[in-house]
Amino acid sequence: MAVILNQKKSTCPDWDSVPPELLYLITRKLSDLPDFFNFRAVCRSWRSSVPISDLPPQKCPLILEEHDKLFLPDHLRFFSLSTGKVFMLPFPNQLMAQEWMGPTLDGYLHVGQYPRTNKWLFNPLTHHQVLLPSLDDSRLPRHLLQRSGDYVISCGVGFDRPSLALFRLSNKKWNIGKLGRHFTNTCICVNGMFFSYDRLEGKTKIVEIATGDLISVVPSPMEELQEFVWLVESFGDILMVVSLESRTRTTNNHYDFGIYKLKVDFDNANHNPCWVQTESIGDRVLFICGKTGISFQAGQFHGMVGNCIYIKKLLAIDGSIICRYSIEDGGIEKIPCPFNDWHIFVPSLQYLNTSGSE
Amino acid sequence: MARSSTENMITLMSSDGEEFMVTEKVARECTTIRNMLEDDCVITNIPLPNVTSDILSMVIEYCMEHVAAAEKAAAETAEKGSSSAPAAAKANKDLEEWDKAFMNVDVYTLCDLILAANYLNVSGLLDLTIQTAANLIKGKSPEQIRKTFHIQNDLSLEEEEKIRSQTPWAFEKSE
Repeated sequence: MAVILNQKKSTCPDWDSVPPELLYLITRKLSDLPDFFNFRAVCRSWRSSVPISDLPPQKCPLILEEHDKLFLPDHLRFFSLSTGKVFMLPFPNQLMAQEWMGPTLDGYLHVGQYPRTNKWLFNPLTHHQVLLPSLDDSRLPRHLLQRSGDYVISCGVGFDRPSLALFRLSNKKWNIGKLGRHFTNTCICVNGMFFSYDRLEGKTKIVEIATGDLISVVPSPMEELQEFVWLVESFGDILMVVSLESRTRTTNNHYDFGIYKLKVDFDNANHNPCWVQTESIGDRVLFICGKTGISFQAGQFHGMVGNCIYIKKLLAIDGSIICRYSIEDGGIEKIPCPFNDWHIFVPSLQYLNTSGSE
Repeated sequence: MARSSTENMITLMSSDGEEFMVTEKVARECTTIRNMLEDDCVITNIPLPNVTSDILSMVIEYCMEHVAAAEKAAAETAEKGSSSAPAAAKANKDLEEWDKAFMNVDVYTLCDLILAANYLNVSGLLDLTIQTAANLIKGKSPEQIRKTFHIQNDLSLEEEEKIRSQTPWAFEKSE
């Protein structure tokens, strides 16, 4: 390297005068939402580099504290696996008389009392609320809510009576029976299709939500009927996760999962969908909690390990712990969690119904 | 690299007049320079009035390391017919480690590097520096971020109040 001049000159750049388009690039990397909001609270130039509605593309899922029934706090507590921090969001007074039933998809919480009363979907970030009118037919305290476009599907799970109700956000009406009868304990909506696992027969039913047509019944991939099954949507794939743990073997902390991928081609009428066992999910992570699961790419989030299942509770392990099961070698890592009981929650600023104000 | 003597050399001149002789291959890592070379292939001397010598030398160091890593990988592939996956993974890991060590800089240098990477259009370096800045923000309160980046709080009390109402996060006091 030929060096002619050797004069050192420091420009001493100012971080508050970095061009907005470069500051914007930084915000794209702030997948933990509190970081994004704190970024916007630093100074005027940082604040104006990104509008509040333009959240980073990847949003790190948060661990949301589950509460005792009959008691609601004035704050919801969240734990970030990425930064290891706990933070809180205020809970509105008018909903405090209600019981909280847990998160739904799309960043909303399902809030209400059972039975036969109005319920709400509530976004703790925007405080936007959607009223779900009382569903007279439902005597079931436990609901799994799924959303597909204009539809919210309420699914009573784990009970002997099949209960499935469809709510249209645009006309605010329930429709019971349209999707048929399902004895299910896990279900998901993907691309306008409703997938439910029948816990009595082990079959998976696929129903087109808009028409209520039964498209297909997929036979169980397992010989025996399993108790712990989850359907999870993962980057366009429909996955079935099965815990092969029997209740009698819980003392040795052993855990084993089977993972199956649905082979399906809706464009081909002669195609029979089937479950195919899969050995690896690559860089993906599955988060399983209660009756639901979500999936995301591990590489996008600090501290996440790919090809792993993060699960709420192992029967044998007490205390505040998240278990990370390695699909490759079956090993289990225990991650400390500040909450005794929790849900997985993916924050969002999106409004559920199109008529909602932005 | 034995063949480097036969390669075209380009002289890059920093804002403070320092000259850096680099191979054309290294210079082409900067998309801005590559475009200049493609427009005018006989160009051998490029003034860079927006980049100081200490920052330019770091950008060149980054480009040289990444060119060398790519050449090494290409040579191994040519030798064995196909690159072995574990060797490629190790090379990637080594380069990641190098990047990490390279990013051990103060926030002023980091800011300069972001501006230079953007101006010279070195996508790998821009991504690396932006990620490093994001990592410095993660888990910090606005006040801690200001302290880290030496930023004056120019928000009025009204603006701060509005921010608080829009973003009602409240962090638990860390133990």
